[in-house]
Amino acid sequence: MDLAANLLLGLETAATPINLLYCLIGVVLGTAIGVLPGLGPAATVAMLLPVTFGLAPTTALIMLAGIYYGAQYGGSTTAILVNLPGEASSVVTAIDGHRMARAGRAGQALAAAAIGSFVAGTAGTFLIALFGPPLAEIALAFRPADYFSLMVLGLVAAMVLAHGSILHAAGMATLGLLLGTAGTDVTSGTARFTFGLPQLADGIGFVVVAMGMFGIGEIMADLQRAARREVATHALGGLWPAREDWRRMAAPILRGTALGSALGILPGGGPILAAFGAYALEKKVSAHRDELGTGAIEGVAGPEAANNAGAQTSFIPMLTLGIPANPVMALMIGAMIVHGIQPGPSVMTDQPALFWGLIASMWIGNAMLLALNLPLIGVWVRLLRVPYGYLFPAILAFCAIGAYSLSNATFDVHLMALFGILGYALNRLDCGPAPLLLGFVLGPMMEEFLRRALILSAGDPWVFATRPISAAFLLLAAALLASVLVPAVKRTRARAFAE
Amino acid sequence: MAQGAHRSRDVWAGALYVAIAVAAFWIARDYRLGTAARMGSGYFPMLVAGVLLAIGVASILRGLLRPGAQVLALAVRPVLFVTGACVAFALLLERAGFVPALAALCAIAAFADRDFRPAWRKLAILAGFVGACALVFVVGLGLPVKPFWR
Repeated sequence: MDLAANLLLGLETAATPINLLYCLIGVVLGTAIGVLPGLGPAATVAMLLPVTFGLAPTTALIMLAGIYYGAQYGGSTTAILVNLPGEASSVVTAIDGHRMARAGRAGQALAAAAIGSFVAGTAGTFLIALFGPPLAEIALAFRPADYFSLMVLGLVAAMVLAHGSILHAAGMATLGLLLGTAGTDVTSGTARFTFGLPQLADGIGFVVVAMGMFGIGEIMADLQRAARREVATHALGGLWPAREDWRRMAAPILRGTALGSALGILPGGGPILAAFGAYALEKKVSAHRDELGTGAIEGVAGPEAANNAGAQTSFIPMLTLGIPANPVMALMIGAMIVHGIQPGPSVMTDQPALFWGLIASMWIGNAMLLALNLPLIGVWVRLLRVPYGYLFPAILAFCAIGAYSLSNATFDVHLMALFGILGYALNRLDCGPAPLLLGFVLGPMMEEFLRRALILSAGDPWVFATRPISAAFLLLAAALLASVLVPAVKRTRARAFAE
Repeated sequence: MAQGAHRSRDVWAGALYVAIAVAAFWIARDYRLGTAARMGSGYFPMLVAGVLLAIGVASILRGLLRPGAQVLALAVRPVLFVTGACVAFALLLERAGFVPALAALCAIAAFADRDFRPAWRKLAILAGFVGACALVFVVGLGLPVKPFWR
């Protein structure tokens, strides 16, 4: 099947009234919740995941994808208007974006973010369509040992690209792996770490973990900070960028899109790394680089394009290989499993309508974001003005209801609270939770592949080194780890995360 | 022991890892290990717990020798009230119904904010919010819970 035919199939699927409706709902809901301080895309997706359970699989994934980049855009809105980034990838946007807002140019900043994101989204959609099928083809040649090593690479990459010390990222990933083993062991039927509780027989729900750590834990930490948020009440300025703005935006958007697309595919990469990388690039290359930091539109357009491109291309490893590149993709994989779809290279051939429909809907969703968000800015501003004291009980309520609705079990609410405490503890220890969630989702899969690989090799552990693909992944992982120890890389990481 | 080691982040995080790893070893002690070629149910967990233990020990050692970053301050109030709110919701939901459970959650959670002062207006907002949620989730989305206790 060639590209055009695939995209046509995708558009047909994505443009049905039901899918369009849920794409719209996803984008709006995602933006609304992404705007709220303290809830990043991962928490937003986790919170709204239960809502999608009653939908058809394609529709559910379309809505979730819409929620994802809606939440990204919502986070950027907050970053520009309030200088409180909702998520790490919006930190960079806040630097110049909020300066622009203070100078009365919030409207142009928001427009730059939306336009940059749309261009990047379009490019990202094409990239997925272009590279998805070949990658899936390659992946079909993978054997269990190769998959295991790929997942090891994924975890290592997530650790290297994670915030904070590598040792703790490794600890988080390992802890996640351990938590993933809880439940009934598929092969032997033994109950592991279930404490005799029937509710744990199927393991710990990943949504519960995500909501607890990213949502509840974040609320606990935010309450401690008790920041007095002042929404930029300055004039929004015209929403339509001036000609000068268009000219200055063009190159950063293109650069950001290219960089973001490349970085998004890396496990652990995605929007965060893309945004930081794009800002650094602009600082080196832009014609107006000395204005960066004082309210230059390049500082918004570039990173925003990059983080949206990164968000789109991070779907590639998820859709083709079944490997989550970041926590949100891990949630998507979980959603697919719940809907009975086994993620992996066969998704493309077994469910072409789902695959291409999802890709096409991403472009449609980006278009919706562009069209809607500029008029809806007034709504978001009003939302941001609600004092946090009223907001957080509502967020907590939605999380609790969501957790309960997963399996109509109050046990899950208790469990979510427990993970909230864990999330808070990790926050105080400055250990980023992202590697934990990745390890948690990858854990069962890794165990399965390890088991199969060792059965096939009759217990010989060298199979991971002798199979060329597997060896390549492991070498790459080792190289990544070693690179972190190199002083130059160390400094760059420290600077990037300190900003 | 170096200066400031007792509040070192590495020490506490490492202690957490070690504690969890040891607990895992203890709980999993009876799981069949099997061999590499025929992995039992205990193989992978033990392997991972071992790695976690190693990381924990390394972290503690690093923290004792070079304390580096300190643990950030702990605030008991948010943790207590947010957790309490969730637990109250979970306990009340099936016994007393959706409305009382949600009301309890919001009421308890409100106190997690140390600047919270009770006011009639806030009570009205709470009632409105709980009512709206009941309409959306129970009536609208069909959440299978009773609105009240009968």
